Amino acid sequence: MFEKTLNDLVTGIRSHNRDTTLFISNAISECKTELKSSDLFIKANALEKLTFLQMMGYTMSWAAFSSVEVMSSPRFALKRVGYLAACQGLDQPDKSPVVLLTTNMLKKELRGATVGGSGENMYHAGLAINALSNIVTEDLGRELLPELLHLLQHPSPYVRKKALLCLYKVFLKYPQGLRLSFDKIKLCLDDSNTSVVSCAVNVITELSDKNPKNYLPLAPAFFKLLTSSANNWMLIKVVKLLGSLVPEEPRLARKLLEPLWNIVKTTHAKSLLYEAVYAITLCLQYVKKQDGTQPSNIPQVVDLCVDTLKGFVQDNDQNLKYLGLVGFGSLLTSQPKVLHSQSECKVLILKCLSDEDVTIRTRALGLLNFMTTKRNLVELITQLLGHVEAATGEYRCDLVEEIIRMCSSNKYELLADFTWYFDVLVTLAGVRGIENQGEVIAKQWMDVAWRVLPVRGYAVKRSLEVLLCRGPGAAGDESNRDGDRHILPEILPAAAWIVGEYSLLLPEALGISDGDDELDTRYDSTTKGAYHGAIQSMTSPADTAGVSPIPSNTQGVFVQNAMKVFAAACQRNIQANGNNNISLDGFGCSDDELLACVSTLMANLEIYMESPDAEVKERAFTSYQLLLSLGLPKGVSAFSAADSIASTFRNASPTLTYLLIPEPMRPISAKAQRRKLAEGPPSPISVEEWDRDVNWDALWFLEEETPIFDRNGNVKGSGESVSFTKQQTSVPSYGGGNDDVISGTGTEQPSSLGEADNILFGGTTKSFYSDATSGPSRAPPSSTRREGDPFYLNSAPPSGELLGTTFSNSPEKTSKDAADAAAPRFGSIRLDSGGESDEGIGDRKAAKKKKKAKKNTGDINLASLGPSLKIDITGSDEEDDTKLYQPKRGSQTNKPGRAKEFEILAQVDLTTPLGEHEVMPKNEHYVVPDRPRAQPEPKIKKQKKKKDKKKKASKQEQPSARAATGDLLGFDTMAFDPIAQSSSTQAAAANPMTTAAPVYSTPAHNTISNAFDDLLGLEMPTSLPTSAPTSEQPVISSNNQDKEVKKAAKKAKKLKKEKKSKQ
Amino acid sequence: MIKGIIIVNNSGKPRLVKLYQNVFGEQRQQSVIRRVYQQVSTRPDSFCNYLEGSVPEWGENIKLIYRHYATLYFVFAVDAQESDLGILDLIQVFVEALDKRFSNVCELDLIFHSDKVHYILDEIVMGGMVLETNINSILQAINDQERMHNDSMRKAGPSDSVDTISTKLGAGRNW
Repeated sequence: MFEKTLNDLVTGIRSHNRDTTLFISNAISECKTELKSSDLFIKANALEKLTFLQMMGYTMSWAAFSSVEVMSSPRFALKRVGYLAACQGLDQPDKSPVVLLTTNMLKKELRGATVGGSGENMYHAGLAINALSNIVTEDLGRELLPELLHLLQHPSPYVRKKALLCLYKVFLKYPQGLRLSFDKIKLCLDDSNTSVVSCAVNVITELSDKNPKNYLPLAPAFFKLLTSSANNWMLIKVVKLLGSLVPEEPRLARKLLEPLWNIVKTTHAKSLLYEAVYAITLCLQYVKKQDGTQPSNIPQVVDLCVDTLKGFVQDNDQNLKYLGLVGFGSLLTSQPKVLHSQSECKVLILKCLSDEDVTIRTRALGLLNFMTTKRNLVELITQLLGHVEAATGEYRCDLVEEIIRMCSSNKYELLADFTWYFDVLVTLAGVRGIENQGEVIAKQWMDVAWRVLPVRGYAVKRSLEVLLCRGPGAAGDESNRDGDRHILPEILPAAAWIVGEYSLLLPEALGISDGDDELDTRYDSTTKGAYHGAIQSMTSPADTAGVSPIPSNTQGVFVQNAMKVFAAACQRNIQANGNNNISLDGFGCSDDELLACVSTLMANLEIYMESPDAEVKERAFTSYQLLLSLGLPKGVSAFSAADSIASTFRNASPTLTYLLIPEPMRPISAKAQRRKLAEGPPSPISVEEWDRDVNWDALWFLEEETPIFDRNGNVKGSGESVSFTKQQTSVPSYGGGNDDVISGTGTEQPSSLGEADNILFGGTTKSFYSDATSGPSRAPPSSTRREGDPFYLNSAPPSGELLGTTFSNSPEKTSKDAADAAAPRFGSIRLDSGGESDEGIGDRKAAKKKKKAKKNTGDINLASLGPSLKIDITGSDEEDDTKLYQPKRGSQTNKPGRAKEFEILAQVDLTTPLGEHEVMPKNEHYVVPDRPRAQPEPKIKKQKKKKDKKKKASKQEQPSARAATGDLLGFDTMAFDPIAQSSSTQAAAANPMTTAAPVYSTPAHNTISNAFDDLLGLEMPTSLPTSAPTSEQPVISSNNQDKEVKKAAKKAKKLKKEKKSKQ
Repeated sequence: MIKGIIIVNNSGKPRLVKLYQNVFGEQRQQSVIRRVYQQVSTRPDSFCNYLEGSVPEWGENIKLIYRHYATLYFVFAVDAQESDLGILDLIQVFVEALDKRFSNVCELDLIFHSDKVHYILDEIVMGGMVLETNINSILQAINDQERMHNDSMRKAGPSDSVDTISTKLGAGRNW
């Protein structure tokens, strides 16, 4: 014997550190030759080596046949090697043809355990059972199930427990077996040996994980085990099992409390203690009686849980600390307020946040949500922000997510001071390594800015600051600027949008002094003022701060909002001029600055017009053309006459304002839109009515001839039939949650019309039409309407002081009288046909369309431009109670996603009694009925064909509808087989043979397997069952039976369909 | 259910791999081992022994429960049906059994007797479920089978061909 042993191989691998792979491939080819040897010892030796190599990642599936050969050795030692090789090497038994060869061998081993009685037999059987548990396939399961069940009564507990556990694996592959054998498993719960009972509990726990309903009837038996047993291992399993049954049967929860309480009080084993407490926390979720009351002892039980878990968290053992936190998490789902009064626990949990172990920190973080109150929120968040600094990796993201969740949950329920919150957001926006949270922060950033009016000005200021800090900074002022200040890229569009959309608030924003230095509005050394700085920062194609290149969708947002800022600058300039150049409080916009704005815009827009991105290009082009169409001479430079340019734009200001910043947007919930859709199309509005309200002066540039407007501004054609509601059907509907509030950064782009449809402009807005004429002293919108509007949130006093003091046009201090009239509209949606100019709405979309209409000469449906659409959905915002963040950890208590392989097992229903047709599959010799052939040959052939058909039908249906086929197939056989008809057992016995004939005939005829059987001395059936029924079967071909066959086939098909549709 | 049991050493070399929920293909298996090792090895011993790691092959909600002994990590991947502290005890039982069998077990024993480690494990966990936790019963089964193993090798010398044995023994068992 010169073959390498396993020892040699291992030594060799260890000594060939450099060229391990070469050594191993040599070894494998040696193994290949060794496997060809006829000596089982040599084969076993090779298999041993291959099994070792398999662990290192070298496949040995090609040696499967050899492992079966070695398995069949009578020597225990070799057999073990063979079994091990099969278990480890056959990773896909279902696909391996070799597995079928083991059927008879395993069967014999399993039977051997019962026949003999010598002590060693049980180990032979044990090996076989163990192997079976690893390589079981559906066919193996069906064949060996009777043997396994028989072993459940084996005198040796060693065999009993192995057989029990193996049954679970069999059921996974052969789910029908479960119904047939569950009674026997139940009997094992009363076994005299605790290990066996424990294994039975184990199996039932696994089964009930797949489909708990089946095992509810067993609850009393487990209850008994729970109160009587002393074996901790088993008790743990029983507790686990009962805990998983509670959701199915809430009445169980109240019953369980007492025994669990006793266990908690008495046990010394930490593991059992923990499981019991955990089970109590599960029960607590279901203890409520039907009348809504709770058992009187609940407070004590909760206290006990808190005490025990506190003990765990306090423990020095990290494992117990972790489990304590997990337990608290479960307890808090049913008793969310429990921690509010437990200051000691709070301290403990907070301490865990600074634990070095990230698993513990993450768990503690999950509990914070339950500990926050209005009072301690600021303090907690401040602490967390400190942790964010120190945290790394995923935990840092978790922290940020948690901070946002704590602040924003339940519509900012706990938050009082939004200025502070905005500061928190700004801080978070500067944190590195939380890229995946950028979108969430940006969403919050915008949400706060548009929902909380008092902080809007502040938001504009901070956003502008964020934008400006990307610039090179004023010359010689480097020290002031944080050159490498990091800003999450997702924040930029949000900040730009806020600055643009609320650019009218810029003077107010810059007037806010928050104690820090004045905001330096200089983008670079050439910056003329705040407006110019904003425009520079948004249009500068080269980014000095490193976020370069800016993503193209951000560029698009930048271009659009730079134009908005420009419109605001024009308006501000008018205000200054209107007041005879008396400087306003806050910041004005001088002619010089306006000129600088224009030249920056023109210069940079030209660059953007060459963008490869269609969106950016289109926006830049539109903006550029707009500026030109307003009368701007081409080639404006800083040296042009500031006065003339400024006056041009003063004239154009109303147009710009109308087009670009008509009114702040308001999000409209998806629900409201749906409701509006349900109302049906509004009554048609006449064009005249609409026409009356349009301020044509502002659209002077449109008065040139276009296909839609004639010279007098009258509309050609009619738009009677346009329905606004119908347009919305094409709106991509956002999913639930706050997504329907304008999401992210994309939706504020008016040019993407599909989305713009989604954004309707609320009734609180000022009218452009009045603006245009009244200029700076326009009528402010009503604010009282806003007060009843749940969409807007109020912030704490600090920001309240800002109101109206610095910003003369602040909406807050505006007249309240107009509001009263509008109040009844709340919660209703209707189309306002325009009405008084004060209420008119500048629909941005309409404006946009108008522009388009001018550009494209296509036949645009006119009325769509028409009357302002007013939708008031303030009431429904409340109903659409959507939370931004679903608690992530809460969902973990749900059932884990079931793997596919468990699905079929989960469908098995144990609650119905066994039917007559459901019998254990048995292999019996088919005895050829001794009857003369009554029919002539041709008919037999016909019959054969039909049989084939039937086989096909039942085979087809096999994989999907196994569970239901038992009766069907048995029925088939009966119809054909007079002998089987006489006894139902036989029918079932013949059933697998006939139906699965193609599969079974292969091994039966296989010479190799025959050889094996000879070798092993296994008796082969004298007549092959497959050939018998078909050829020798007496033919009874009455019409009736033909029908039955067809029926069966139909039924099978139907079943298959049903199964499919279920899946 | 226990999804898999993996023993790796400090440098990531597998010393025992037993996967109860099939992970098809050696490459996949190796990636599971690597992933488990990566997650476990970064944690100092002062950390808790639970890791809510992710191993995509086994699906969601898998917990890695491990113990670190000298040069070896014993990692059990389990789902929610297993008791957290129970599995830690089970690892202890496993190591004790190894220790009894090899007397002062060390990594070398596991390397050179990887088959025997499998046999021992098979007496503790079967098919992903706990079979036996009583160390005495475990050891008895192990020792009995070890004796049978040696007996079976002795009864017929290596010179006897397999055919003679099987003829001598008729049915091929019960000897």
